[in-house]
Amino acid sequence: MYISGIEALINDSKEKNIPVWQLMMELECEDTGVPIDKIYERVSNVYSVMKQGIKDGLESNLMSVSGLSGGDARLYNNQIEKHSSMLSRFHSKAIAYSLATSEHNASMGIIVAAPTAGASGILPGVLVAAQEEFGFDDDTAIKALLTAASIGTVIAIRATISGAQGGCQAECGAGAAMAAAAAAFVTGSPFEECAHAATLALKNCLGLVCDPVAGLVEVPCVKRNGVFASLAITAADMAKSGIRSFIPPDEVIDTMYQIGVTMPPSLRETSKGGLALTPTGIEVAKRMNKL
Amino acid sequence: MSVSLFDILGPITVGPSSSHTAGAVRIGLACRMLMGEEVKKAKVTLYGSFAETAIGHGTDKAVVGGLLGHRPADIENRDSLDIAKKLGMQITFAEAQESRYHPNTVKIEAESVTGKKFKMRAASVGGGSIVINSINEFTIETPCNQDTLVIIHLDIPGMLSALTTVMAWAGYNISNMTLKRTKRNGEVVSIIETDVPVADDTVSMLRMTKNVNQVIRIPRF
Repeated sequence: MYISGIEALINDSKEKNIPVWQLMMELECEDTGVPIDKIYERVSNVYSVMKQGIKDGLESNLMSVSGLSGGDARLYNNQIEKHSSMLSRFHSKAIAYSLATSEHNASMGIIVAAPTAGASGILPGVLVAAQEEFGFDDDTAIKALLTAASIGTVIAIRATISGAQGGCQAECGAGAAMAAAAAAFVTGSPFEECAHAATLALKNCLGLVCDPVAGLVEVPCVKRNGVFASLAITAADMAKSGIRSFIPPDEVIDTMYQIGVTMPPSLRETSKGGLALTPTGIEVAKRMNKL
Repeated sequence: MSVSLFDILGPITVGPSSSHTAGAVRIGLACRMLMGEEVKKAKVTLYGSFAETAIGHGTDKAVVGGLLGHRPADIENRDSLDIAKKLGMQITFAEAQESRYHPNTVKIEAESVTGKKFKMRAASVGGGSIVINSINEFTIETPCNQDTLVIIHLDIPGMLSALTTVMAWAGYNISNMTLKRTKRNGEVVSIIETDVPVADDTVSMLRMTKNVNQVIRIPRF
């Protein structure tokens, strides 16, 4: 599908008098010929895989193949169970679940790359925690995923969701924007408010570089997924109070792309700069990755 | 640029990387499908970033998982090296650098259980998407994101017309078509992408067409 921007999405949805989540399914159906009910079923399956990933990530406690990550989701979850987190239950669970998915990803578990594998923790973390704490049905969660996907689609089309092209702002930034939109949606925001939630999240990670240690999706990616669940929730909560991004959504997305392409290649997933070139990063890279 | 809903809410795959793991499974699987037979032996050469980060990303396991016929979302990819060993599949790995290639490139030189030899080179271009850059001696560029027919035929007049007539007669809409040859009057590879899978009888018709040497069908995957 092609969507030119958030503004166009809002206009199309008004013109057709259907919500954005429905518009997304209709656009996909137009493109692929797959009937709407089958598309809905596939999104429902996506949500099941997300829930399973969190469950497995928390239970398995596997270390990654490299040994660089693993066990933090459980550590954080223990704190929640002991009621000693500083954050609300929804907020802290979202962090734990994002970490769990991201660790599951690092240990070759099955995940949904929404929008990418490296940023796969944020959206499920926020959405599944919200469902547990706010108690809505799966149908609402599926509509939230479609709403989040509309944001991700516009970012992919107008900008990029690839760390190699745009740095981490393009991956975890897009993931946090999608999660912020989902969090706003499930708590009753109209689409325009969801879009501003997404924009506030994206705007506040502009310039973020992609500098993974030893080229692996682990350091700093796993913990960043956890922290960005928090960013998404904060952005959504601000949008729900009536706060709007001063710079409109489409302009912020375009800016993310402009910043991405002007970023030096050493900070765009090549592991030739940033944290990857710290003494510790270099030492890890040396002992890893020999076939 | 066009995006599918399930590019954004997906793909569903084993981690940790859509390009270095999911894409690598798809490259292995494309090789398996193109061979049309089970793989007995394979030499897998990893280039660029694929070579540098293979172990941590499980790129080696991913390519072999694909060669075994696994899909990106199959958890068996984790243990594919052991599975291959148990099945007696002989896999060797090599690393190489070639600046002309995409940084996430794999070359596979394989032999099937019936002794058929096949080689291909492909790149993982992001989000689990791949592009096949060569099949045997042919340089091509096909993304395998549609139902695809790879047809090898002689380089003589009227071949395209013959192939498209079969397709038209059977009622298939061609969404994309490319043609590459190694040398004049040699062999040609025509790649035809369609909106829907091409049925067995049409594939047979194409195979029976005069001067067609080989027809390989790759389903959308």
